[in-house]
Amino acid sequence: MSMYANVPSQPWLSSPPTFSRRTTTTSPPLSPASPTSPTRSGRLRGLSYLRTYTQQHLLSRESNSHSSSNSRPNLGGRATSYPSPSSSNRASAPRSPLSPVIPPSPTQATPNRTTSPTAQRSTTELSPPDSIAPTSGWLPTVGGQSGVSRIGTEPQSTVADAPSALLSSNATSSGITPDLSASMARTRSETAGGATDISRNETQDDMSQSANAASNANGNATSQLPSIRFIQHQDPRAQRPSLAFSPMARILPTGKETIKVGRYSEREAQPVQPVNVPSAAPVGFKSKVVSRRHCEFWCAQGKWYIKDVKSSSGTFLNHIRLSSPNTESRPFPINDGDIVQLGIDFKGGEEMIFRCVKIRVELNKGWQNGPTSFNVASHKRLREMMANQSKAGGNGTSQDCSICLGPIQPCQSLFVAPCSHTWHYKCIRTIINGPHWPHFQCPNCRMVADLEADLDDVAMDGEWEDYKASETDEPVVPPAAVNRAERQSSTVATNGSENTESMLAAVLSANSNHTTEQPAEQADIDSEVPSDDYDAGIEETAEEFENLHIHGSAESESSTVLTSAHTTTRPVDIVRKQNSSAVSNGVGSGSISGPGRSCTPSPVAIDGMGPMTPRNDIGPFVFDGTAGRIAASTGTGHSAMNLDSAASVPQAIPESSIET
Amino acid sequence: MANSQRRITKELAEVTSDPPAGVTVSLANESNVHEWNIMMDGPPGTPYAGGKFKLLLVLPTDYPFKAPTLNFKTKIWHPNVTFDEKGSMCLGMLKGDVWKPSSKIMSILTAAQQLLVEPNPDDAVEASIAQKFKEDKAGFIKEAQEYTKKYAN
Repeated sequence: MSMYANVPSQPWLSSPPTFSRRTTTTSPPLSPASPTSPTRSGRLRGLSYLRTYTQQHLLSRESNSHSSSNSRPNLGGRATSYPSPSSSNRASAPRSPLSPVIPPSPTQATPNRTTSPTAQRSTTELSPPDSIAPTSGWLPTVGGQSGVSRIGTEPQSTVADAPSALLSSNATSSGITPDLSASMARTRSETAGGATDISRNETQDDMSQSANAASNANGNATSQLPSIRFIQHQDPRAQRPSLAFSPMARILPTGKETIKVGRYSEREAQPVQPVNVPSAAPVGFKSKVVSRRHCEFWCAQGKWYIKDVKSSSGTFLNHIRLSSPNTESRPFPINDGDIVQLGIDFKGGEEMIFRCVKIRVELNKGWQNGPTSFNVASHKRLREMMANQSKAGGNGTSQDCSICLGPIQPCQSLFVAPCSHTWHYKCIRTIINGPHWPHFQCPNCRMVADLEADLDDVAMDGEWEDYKASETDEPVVPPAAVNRAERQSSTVATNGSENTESMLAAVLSANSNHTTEQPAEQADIDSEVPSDDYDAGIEETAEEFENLHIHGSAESESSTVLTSAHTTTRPVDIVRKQNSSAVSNGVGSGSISGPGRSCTPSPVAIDGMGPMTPRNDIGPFVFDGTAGRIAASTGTGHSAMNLDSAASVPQAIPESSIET
Repeated sequence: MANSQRRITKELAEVTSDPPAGVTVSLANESNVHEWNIMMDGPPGTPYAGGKFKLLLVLPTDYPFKAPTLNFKTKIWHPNVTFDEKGSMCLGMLKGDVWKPSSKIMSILTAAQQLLVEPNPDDAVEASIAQKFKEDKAGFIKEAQEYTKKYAN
């Protein structure tokens, strides 16, 4: 094995001129590994930027890639074939060491991918892109294309076969093969990228720790029921809007149910239920292009899956059709934020009834609606504010919304007037948007506010500043939140980790010699493949973010190296290490067990932030930058971890809030 | 308008469970929460004491953003209530520019009662009655009592 590793690494490094810069950058971490760590914060910021960029442009990109479907098949073919040119032996050899690691890799791969197909694919050949792909808008194109082509054009068989073959070649990993093949069936890339990363990164101690965390997490996971929410998605580039529907949410009562999606029928119409009641009722859409039985969603081990059930007009996951007409597809894992499209516009989609359905799925977000230390604290602050207000001479009625007379509670959308009177936004909306806009007369105290007023004009006297300062003293990240985050991450991690653990250990022992070299090798490979695909615009951006890209790729592919770098160069406190390991495991296991859940709360939650939304832990009324300070205090420690998670969890934006 | 219905049912529950003294509230029509029948006893110590007055409270569809209207179905001889079939009542807080969505029906009812106790001749809708109230208090009381006996029994 050592021979294999060495041989490929050298030639590849030198060969690709375009990516020479990247390769070089990656290489340093391999040998000394230390250089990466110091730069982190800066890179992190860049990553966050990338992430936001992705969020804004990823979808459109994907659509682009989709439109340019011609290129995809080629790419896919290329990507798969790529290793072969060197020689079948060679190609298989370098990979084989990786393959044993496979179980962990799924964790990383799954959380990473915005689009499940992309991520899976990317891990195999283009490990750097896939890790980055979710984060950066520009990479996804490449990754997405290749991913698409891969998944779309190439059945799993290729993937499954290849790894197994590789495995067989590896004498050491043979024992692992069955497990691996199962996991690998989904993506070869995952195995290679993720497995290698984890195995190299973590010492056995870390792994055991992570395993423990994972097992603990499982118990907690059961308390949280899997949930899914269907939200209308409007593609900004689409010619015409997709079917309009109001958000629908389902919480699986036992977690075993399957949610059937099909055409809405009056007969099966479900009585409207409160959103928070567990139910696995079928979901119906009033569109002719949706088959009566169209697709199904279910959750297994915290991970959500989708399957086309012989729909006639197709189910599309992030623009990739899952199966040909009237055939059932295999299960595809889905991630939070994925776009699922049912059918295609018929008759030009002129009439609403002929429009396709585009759904943005939100997975396992239930924890965001529960009482958390953050929203409870901010709500308490709000109550105090209102209490003071009413004492000051308002009508001392109550903290209820004076429009609906209902209580004002956490997790409600509120409107707070300058006079500090507060209502449900839904209730006060008619007044806000009334004929007097932008002037708003408080229905409680008749104070008139100019809602368009320049925010800088608010006069701040010293008293108010003092008040603000005192307010901010409160602890920002409550322990409860952290606990929860940890719990969740651990839950996510559980399944995969145990299996992986043993395998990893085996791999580590076997590969220990090569670990440093292989990641570099992989990085090279990755860089090469995508380079062809890049268009000029992408390249530009790539150069801009070169550092980021490198860093990200290094993270994703050679996470081992990086982690080792952390540990060696910087003293890392144990807690952090545990977390990171848990995260990585969680990610890896997530692909197997449930990436949706894992990716959502796990890594970022440690910082007290949600996956998608930047969270201001100080509360809505304080804007003095304490958030940044807090992040700084906790942030250094976590930044490394965040990076890992950032690479693995593409959609988490929170860094930006932390950094700024 | 589900929002307004929810608020109205809430207020209805509040008023029926804890009504102001001498007031009973019921829906004019069980299927329509926007019309309330209100039975109000003449406040003791006033010329209207002993009388039972029926009022109709109509809540607009965009309640609470628009003020409800309160009409006396029983004829009442009062400076601030039109002495006709409509029985329109001039209640300050129900005027369009004074009405606040945060006002509640409970406060409307108590305000109406208060108006029976203390007529407001300066803001009268029946000028003749207001004049009598101002210039001949005894005569006003006597006449009001007579009308109360005549109509509100």
